[in-house]
Amino acid sequence: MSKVYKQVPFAAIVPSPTVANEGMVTGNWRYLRPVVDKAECTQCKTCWVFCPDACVNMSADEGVSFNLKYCKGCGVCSNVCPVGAISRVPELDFEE
Amino acid sequence: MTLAVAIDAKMQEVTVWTRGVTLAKEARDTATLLAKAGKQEGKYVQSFDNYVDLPDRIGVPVKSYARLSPEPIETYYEYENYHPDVVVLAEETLVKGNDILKGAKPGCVVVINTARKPETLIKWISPKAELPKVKALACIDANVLGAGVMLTFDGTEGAGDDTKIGAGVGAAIAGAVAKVTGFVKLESLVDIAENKTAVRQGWENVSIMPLG
Ligand code: SF4
Ligand code: SF4
Repeated sequence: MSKVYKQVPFAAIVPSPTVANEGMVTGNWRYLRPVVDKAECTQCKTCWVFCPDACVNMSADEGVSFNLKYCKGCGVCSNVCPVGAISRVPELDFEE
Repeated sequence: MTLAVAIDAKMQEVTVWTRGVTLAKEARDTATLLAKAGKQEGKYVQSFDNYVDLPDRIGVPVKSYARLSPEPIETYYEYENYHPDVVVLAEETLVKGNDILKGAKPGCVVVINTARKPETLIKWISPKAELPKVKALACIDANVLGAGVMLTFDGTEGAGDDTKIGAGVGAAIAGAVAKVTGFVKLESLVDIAENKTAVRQGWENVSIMPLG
């Protein structure tokens, strides 16, 4: 009995999607795309912390990049960046 | 074949795509104005939002619908326009990443609120297989039309609606749609819209690119 009880997940907790949720692709919400100026970026990770959709990728070699399949263009990253390294560019200015 | 096509052969369907919250009211106005103008001309009409899209969120693609017919509309229990005659985009970026032509009727018309040229937008229109059905692509820069510019949270998620119908960009877009499609007369739209200048400017400034 106690073993079965321990197998029950606490409250309504479900396993989180560890990579991406194919059922909720939010990229087409975006009409302004975040673009980072790598010369300005200090790699402070503030944008990475604040992005509500975990769309900011940080890598030691490449620095900041965005997951555009899910980035909804909310502009939070651009607003919190302390050095103003992220600008917002109309999505239709990009071919892809 | 959906019920609408089977029993309402003469019904014309207008689908207005827009962005949740910030532009939802304007798209609803475009659909409402076209329906009310049609009613004034003695047509049978319906107008409503896509229930599945609600509650909306800022920036989410959402749709408003209008239906016009010279005969009584029998389709009461289909809550989406599955076969639009006109696809309207109240915000230009919707052309990218949305299947706006899904189910479109042959000879359908696409109207986009944009400052860009129709030629530059056509590459994004999807699904590609439906593109031969498009008779014309029309562009109207409703955002720059005089007093026609307005973004509002009114009428969204239970908020009260203080603005009259057709006070903002939705009025200009309705004028453009009326000219391109001929579904309703300019005078009927002007008659009921709050911003009559915007309706006229939309009618006058729309640029139409015939296709096919
Ligand atoms: S625009 Fe919004 S969703 Fe996109 S990366 Fe920035 S914070 Fe994240
Ligand atoms: S917040 Fe600005 S400076 Fe900091 S990592 Fe992001 S882009 Fe770079």
